Amino acid sequence: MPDNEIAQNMFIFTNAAAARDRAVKPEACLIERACNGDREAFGELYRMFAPAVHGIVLLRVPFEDAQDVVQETFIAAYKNLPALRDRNAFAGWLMKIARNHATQFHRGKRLTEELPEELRGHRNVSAEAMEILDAIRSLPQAYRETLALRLVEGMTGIEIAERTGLTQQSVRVNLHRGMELLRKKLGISEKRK
Amino acid sequence: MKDEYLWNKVGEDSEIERIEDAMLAFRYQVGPPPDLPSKTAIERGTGWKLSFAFAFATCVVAVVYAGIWFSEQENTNLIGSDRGAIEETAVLAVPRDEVHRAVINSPAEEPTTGNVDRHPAKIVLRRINKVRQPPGVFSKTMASKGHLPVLTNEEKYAYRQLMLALSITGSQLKIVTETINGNEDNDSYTNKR
Repeated sequence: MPDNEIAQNMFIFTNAAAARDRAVKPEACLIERACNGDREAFGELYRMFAPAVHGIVLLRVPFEDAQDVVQETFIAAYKNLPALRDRNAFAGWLMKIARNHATQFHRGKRLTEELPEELRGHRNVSAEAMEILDAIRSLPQAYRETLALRLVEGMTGIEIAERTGLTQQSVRVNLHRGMELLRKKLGISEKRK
Repeated sequence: MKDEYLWNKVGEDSEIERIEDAMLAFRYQVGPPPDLPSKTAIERGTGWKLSFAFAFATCVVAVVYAGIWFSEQENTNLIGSDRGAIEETAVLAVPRDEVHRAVINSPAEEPTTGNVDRHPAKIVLRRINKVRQPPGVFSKTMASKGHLPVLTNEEKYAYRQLMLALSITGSQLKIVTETINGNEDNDSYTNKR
């Protein structure tokens, strides 16, 4: 391929990437409406992002308290929504609030130990599930968050990228490397090799 | 593709499916959005900061403006009284219309070298220009010569109020400084005793 053709292709690629970055994300319109006091719009945002926030929070707090922290995160987001200048950066901004609230949960006076089996309520959590969750929690942050959203919340790679503000390439890499580390921690041999 | 199921759930991967099934217990349970605070409550929460900042700024501006106003008043009173005295003395030596013209009209240029112009009107102007000095010079020289500004009753009252406010502020600052330095009244009292 001649040099000028490569340069032209690169130019097209960078332009396409820039256009994708500049494109208004679907949540931007909802954010605008929510800023003007539209609760329906904020409810829609909640439905879109609550699973992702739950996945992030679950890695840092006991799962019985995760739902409360999710709600606190969204209330804080609603209060500070007018301060968000770049509407397209909502996903990353919301995840940061979620991480902060989960950290504050640990700093607060509430206990952070998992409840014993008999007090865990209606959810039937097996020992294997707890083992897997602990293994995911022990991974580096980038891997564990992506893996939690994929394995716990059941989101696809594209959905994870949309909900966290990461690029699809980053999500793909994090999923692949995170899964390798998780397999090692769980002692699962990769049969496909 | 190797990680296709991990990326977008297309195809099969028994290991990942088994992990997903185990992690279902931790998955986000869809629920209603949180009870959001009313917009007026949010505005009220942040409004007092703005009000406080505005009130503080207003106070600062008022004090500065009062200070400038008083210094201006002092200067104009001094110049006015001196101008009057000069006019009175000049009237004795030169015709009245010439003096009047000299005071009202713009000042003529002073000769830098050679013979000094002895025209009575220019003598008056030179004397007026000597009196017009910067405010800093006034405080040291004019006040020592007894050229005190003549204030009306209202101005005297306002001046007294300003001095009172400044003395209160000064005493408050002194208390703060003493508190910071650890020299509280009790200590000094006991030391004196």
